[in-house]
Amino acid sequence: MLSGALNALQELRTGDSLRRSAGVIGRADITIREVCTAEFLVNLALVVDGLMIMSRNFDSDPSPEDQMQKLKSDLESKSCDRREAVIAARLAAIVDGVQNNLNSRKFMFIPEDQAKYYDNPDLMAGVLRFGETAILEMREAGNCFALSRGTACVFRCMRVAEYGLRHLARRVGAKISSRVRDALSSLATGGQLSPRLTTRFQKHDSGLPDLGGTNYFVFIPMQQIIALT
Amino acid sequence: MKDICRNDISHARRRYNKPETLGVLNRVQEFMKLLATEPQKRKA
Repeated sequence: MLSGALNALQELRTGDSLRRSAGVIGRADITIREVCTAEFLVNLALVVDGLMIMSRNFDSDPSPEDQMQKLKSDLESKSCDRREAVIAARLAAIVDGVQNNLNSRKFMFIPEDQAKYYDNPDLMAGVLRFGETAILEMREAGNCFALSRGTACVFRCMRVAEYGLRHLARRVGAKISSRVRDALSSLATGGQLSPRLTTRFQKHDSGLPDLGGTNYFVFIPMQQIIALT
Repeated sequence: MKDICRNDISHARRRYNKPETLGVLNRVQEFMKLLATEPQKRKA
């Protein structure tokens, strides 16, 4: 859309320059093709409309948006001043405004495999019964992962797990043993398991990835952890 | 609960790479699903 506006601006400026040049050299008899035809104005109104939608999408300042709205209305009503210089000046102000707005903002690229975690309802569905705050935490965990904020994601995950653990503790009324606490601590940090638990996991599943004894805990399914602890 | 989970992540100052993060995210998701479905299994 911005390139369309820039092209139109270039065309208007060229038309205006040619008309001025013809006036300077005193050749008023030279016919210069009119830039601002009815078709051009209709197309320009469409470009301005698209630019307005684009500006709303990145939450631009209201000023260029107002200018775009006015220019679009004028172009559609066909009552506007059709001189190239006049339309070019109005369009230039709008393009400058949009470019300034774009320069003051940052846009982030999310890779395809991470994008699906952003505001993912499937993630939130799993924690529906644990209340609104747990849902919010799970949503944020997914968003942090999507935005490559690993540590923040794990932090959020721990908060979610805490809701689950509180629920579990209330339901079973059980005291948590040191063995479970060890395992859950490692779940929280992704760090090294105690030698006793490491041996136990390795005996249970010899197909675990060999990562030198560290961090492989994150690959073990939750059911196995619960069963083995 | 604070001792089990929160302190480690809050105070260990450890950084997590993408596979580790995904592992933890999936595991917590799995854990929460397990907790949410267990009563139904018991009834069955």
